[in-house]
Amino acid sequence: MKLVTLLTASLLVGSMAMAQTDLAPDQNPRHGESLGKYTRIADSLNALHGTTIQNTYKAYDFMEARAERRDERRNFRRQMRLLRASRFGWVDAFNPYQNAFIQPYGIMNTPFNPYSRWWWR
Amino acid sequence: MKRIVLLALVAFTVTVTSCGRKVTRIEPDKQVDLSGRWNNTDSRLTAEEMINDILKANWLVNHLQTKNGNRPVVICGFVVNKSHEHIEAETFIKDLEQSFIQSQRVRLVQSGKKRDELRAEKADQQTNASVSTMKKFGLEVGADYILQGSINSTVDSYRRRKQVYYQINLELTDIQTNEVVWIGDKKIAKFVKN
Repeated sequence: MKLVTLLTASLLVGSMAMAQTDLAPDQNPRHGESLGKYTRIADSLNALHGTTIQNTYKAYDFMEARAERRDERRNFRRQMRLLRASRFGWVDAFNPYQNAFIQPYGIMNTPFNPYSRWWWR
Repeated sequence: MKRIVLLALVAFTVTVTSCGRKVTRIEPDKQVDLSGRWNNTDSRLTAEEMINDILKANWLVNHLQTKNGNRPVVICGFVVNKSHEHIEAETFIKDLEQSFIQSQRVRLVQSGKKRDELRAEKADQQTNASVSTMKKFGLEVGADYILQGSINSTVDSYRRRKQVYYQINLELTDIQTNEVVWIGDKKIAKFVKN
């Protein structure tokens, strides 16, 4: 048992001595920890070499903002037109209580309902 | 009658040809600003400034002195675009790399996906190429410096007027010591009136 302990200790001291001899002047003796950490992530980081990482932001531009507002308004009106065309009755987007009376296409606005738009078409 | 038909034909031809798309080749160094966004002129100006600066800076002389005249080896890292526009830095980075090779004062090693491709080709050669022509692993040239960069911008706009400011920074860092040996910058300011 003593022999095993002695052998293990001598191996440990020997390996440490070898590690010490591998060190460059003034090199941090714990550099191995960093080496292990960065070896694992090196591939993913190095794949970005030579590329441009696009981390852009949206700057406020008066003209662009106006155009966006206009597009949004047009899109909203188009959506409302589509909604009115597909549902029975008038759809008022600004009346929150009207939603109770709006029926989807499948229930009220069918050819079998005499009050639907199908009937008088 | 014939004259009328002829005139109509000529008028039709003139109208059709004048309404069609017209494309003309221009010199790449000609300044053409259409929207006020980043364009090839900005890229070219950045490249020119950086090339002039990096090859004349002290880091090169210092390296040659400390390394007994051995030319520095540079690898290109990534550039972070933190501006408000999509800008591809490769357009001016490639000009910079080209100047390294043409000047014969700086050595350049391949990086990124191209380096992976090279290693994959080398791996393929281990089983397919003849022994005399097969390239070995572990004999690449290690870079001394890494080139990294960033692009920043500020925008100030009011109604139809806009001022855009770009700042492009490139940094050269000693890989062994993490010491930044050179920082190059290019500042571009534009005034756009819509």
